[in-house]
Order: sequence, then C-alpha cells, then structure tokens
Amino acid sequence: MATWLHWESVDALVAMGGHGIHVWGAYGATAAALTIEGWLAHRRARRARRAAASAALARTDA
Amino acid sequence: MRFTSYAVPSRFFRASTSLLPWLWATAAMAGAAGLSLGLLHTASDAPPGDAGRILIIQVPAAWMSMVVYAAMAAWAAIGWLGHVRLASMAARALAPTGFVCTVLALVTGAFWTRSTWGTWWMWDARLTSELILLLLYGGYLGLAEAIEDPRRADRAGALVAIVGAVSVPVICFSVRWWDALHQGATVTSRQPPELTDGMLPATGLVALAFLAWAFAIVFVRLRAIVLERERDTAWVRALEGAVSAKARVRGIRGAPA
Amino acid sequence: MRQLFFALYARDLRLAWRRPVDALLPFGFFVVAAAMFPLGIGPEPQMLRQIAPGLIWVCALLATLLSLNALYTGDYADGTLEQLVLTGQDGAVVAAARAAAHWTLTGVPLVLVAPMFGLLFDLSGDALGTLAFTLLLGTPVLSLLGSIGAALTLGLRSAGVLLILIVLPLAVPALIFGSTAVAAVDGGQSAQAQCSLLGALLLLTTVLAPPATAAALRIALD
Repeated sequence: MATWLHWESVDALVAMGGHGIHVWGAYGATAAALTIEGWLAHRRARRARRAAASAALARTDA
Repeated sequence: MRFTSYAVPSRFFRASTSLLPWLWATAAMAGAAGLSLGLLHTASDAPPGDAGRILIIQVPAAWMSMVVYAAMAAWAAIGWLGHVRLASMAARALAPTGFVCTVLALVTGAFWTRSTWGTWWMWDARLTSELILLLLYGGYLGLAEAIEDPRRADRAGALVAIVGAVSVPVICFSVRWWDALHQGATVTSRQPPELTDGMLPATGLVALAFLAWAFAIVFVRLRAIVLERERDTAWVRALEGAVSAKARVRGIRGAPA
Repeated sequence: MRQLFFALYARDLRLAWRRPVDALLPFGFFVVAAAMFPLGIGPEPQMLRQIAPGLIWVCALLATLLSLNALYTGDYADGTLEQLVLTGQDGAVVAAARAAAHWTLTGVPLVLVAPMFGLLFDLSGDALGTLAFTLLLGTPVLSLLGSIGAALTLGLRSAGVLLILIVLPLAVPALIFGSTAVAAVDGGQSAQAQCSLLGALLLLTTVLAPPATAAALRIALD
C-alpha cells in the first residue's frame, strides 16, 4: 500500500489494532442510522408532495 | 432582501430548493475528507490507540445533539412567543435529527467504552448526561406527536423545550457532581473520552459534515411539514398544480414521464 | 391573590378528605415499591444500607410522579378548570395552590414515613434526619415540576407515560442532591452543600414553575 497511508495492508485496516469490531461497528451503526433517517425524511417529503399534488388537482378539477 | 423575509414559508421553500444540493455536497466532501483522514492517514497515539478513531464520530455526534437541542428550543420559543409559524415548524423538523444524533452519540460511546474498558456502558458524567438529553428529546417528540392539533402541539412542545433548555445547566451540574462524588469511591479512575491532538483535524471535518448533513435533513423534513400544513394555500396549489398538470398531460400523450 | 390561593388550597384538601383512598394511594405505592427491593436484591444488611438513600429517594420520586396524573383531570372534566384559568384569575396562583395541595397530600406523608423505612434499611439516626430534611425540600420541587407536566399532558391519551417521561429528567438534580446528602451523612460526612443546593433548587422552582404551569394550562385549554 502507498507510503502516505497509515496502514500496511487492508487486513491491518480491518483489524484496527485489535479494536476492529468496535471501530467498524461504530462506523456501521452511524452509516445505518444516517441512512434510515435520510430515507424516512425523504419518504415524508415524497408523501407530502403527493398529497399536496392530489389536493391541487382536486381543486383544479372542481 | 431581509433575513426575516424567509419566515414566509413559500420563500423558505424556494430558497431551500437551491440550497439543498450545496448542503449535500458539503456533507459528502467534508465527510469523505474527514473519514479518510481519520481512518486511513493519521497515526493514532495515546492509550486508546486505534479505538480513538471512534471518537472522530462520537464527539461530533454529541456536539450536534446539544446544538440541535438549543436550536430546537430557540426556534420553538420564537415560534410560540413571536408567532412565527415557520419557526414552530422548524423546531418540529429539528427534533428527530437531534434525537438521532443523541442515539448515535450513545451507541458510538458504548462501542468506545467496550473497546477501552471492556464494558458496554460507563455511568460517567458525559454519557449519563447524553442519556438524559435523550429523555428530553423523547419528552418533546412524545408530547408533540401525541397532540393532534398542530397549534397546541407546537406550543406545548415549545414550553417543554424551553423548560428543558433552562433545566439543562442545572441537570449537567448535578450529574457532574454525582460523577465526581462516586469517582472517588472506585479503585480505577474512569477517564472520559478524550480526543487526541492528532485526531482533531479529522474530527473537525466530520463535525462540519454532520452540520451540513443535519441542515440538509432538517430542510427536507421542514419542506415536508410546510407542504403538509400549507396544503391549501395558493402558492402550494400553484406549485403542485403545475407539476401534476404537466405529469397528467405527459401521461395522456403516452410519452414516458 | 392570597385569598385565591388559600381558597383553592382549602378546597383541594376538602375534596381529598372526601376520598381518602385516592390520597393515600401514592403513599401505599411507596411502601410496596420500597419493600420490593430487599425481596428482589437480597436482605444483606451492608448492601441494603448502602443503597438505601438512593432507593428511598427513587421510590419517593416514583410515588409522586404516579399521583400527578389526576392533578388537573378532575377539574378539567367538569369544566371548573376552564372557569378558573380563562376567566382572568391569576393562573400562576391557581397552579401554586394546586401544587401546594398536592404536596400536602403526597409529599408530607412521604417526609414522615420515609425515615421509618430508613430504619428498616439500617440507616444511622443522623442519616434519617437528613433523609426527612432532604425530602422536605425535595418533594415540593417534585410537585411543582410535576404540575407543569400534568398541565401539558392534560386530556391526552397516554398522559401518564408522557408525564413521567417529561418530568423525570427535570427531577434528576433533586434526586441526586437528596440521595447523595443522605449517603454522605450516613458515611459520617457533612451534607451542607447538598442541602443548600436543594434549598436553592426549591426557591428557583417555586418562582419559575407556577407561571410555566399557568402557560401550559392556557395552551391545553385554548
């Protein structure tokens, strides 16, 4: 691996000096939480747009 | 163009449409830079060793949980006492993000504790205060979501948030007191999570990423709330009417949407 | 203002007198809950003595919280509350009177009984005195904080759980100062700092909680 990288090998990166599970567990939990939050927020936004659109359509039809 | 003109929901909606891509880009770039710096390039020194890389996320998450609570309480107060509707909506939009940041601070804190001390939890001042903050967020969210009338929900939430914000200094003081008292009794002195100097640049970048991300997510949620509540106003009808009319026309002509 | 306060206070006590069971329930809960711990943890005297201050304080806190539910619901149901709050009476005085009545009915029995429970856990005589004193200062704080929660959750479906969720974080300082004071005295040290802090907390809460409760009542009733 390149000399400016701290790790000698990918295995060393994964192992994290013995703390591998905890470091990657923490990073994984963060990724999961942010993804779920993002998905939920966008889902709410999509639903709101759809509801507003159908309300607008109903108005123009009436 | 005065700042207060953005208190009008329609202006906020338009402004946020152009701001969002920049926010996502900032979050992505700062996050990538911070993570690569923290995970790949920096040597980790000091006792925690490589476990200290957890703190690159834990510390910014804890910061954000507190900043978002303060912002939530402030906007809720402005919305309630200043009668600015968008401010109340902003408080409601901030709460879930703050809750998630608090959960993250606790979960990553647990991973750090497990990695450094062998136990999954440590009742020290910082983690315990974070837990109490989680309860404060839970109270706000529980109350606001339980009330159906949006006006009453916003106001009740504002009062809870303000009371909480005023109590936070007292609570933090008492928890630190409690921690100091019981620390003397244990044999091992429990050191709170400390950032080593080498990790500071990475942590700063990740904090920036968190901030940009939080802004983006809160904007997305706030836009949803604005659409939900302002559904029957002229500007929403115009906005959504134009969009859906276009879609309908495309559908009639049989062209791909 | 004083007239209104005493009129409401006396009325609440009279109402409670007619239904003594309701007034004694939180007290009964305290006894049961405190008795559960030795059954659950074990009767070893050393350990029980160590956990007694916190245990008794937590049980007192829970007993107070559980009795807060009904603080405003009775008057809300028959319209008296709306009459009181919306006809220009000083909401803060109404809130203060209600909290004072609640404390008289719930807090004072706890102050009297808890030291007896402390005996069951083998706390020293000085510690028992400190326990009574800290509860004397702390239970009004709990009643005042709880009245804010009771007013906010008025009429909601899951009011009980929400009330506890909202009030618990706010009650943490009183719990910490009270229990550590008793533990300190039991270990032979002075608890002056904790007691002064509790006193300051009581003053602060007495000044700030009634207006907040009044605002919460107006929010709930509008």
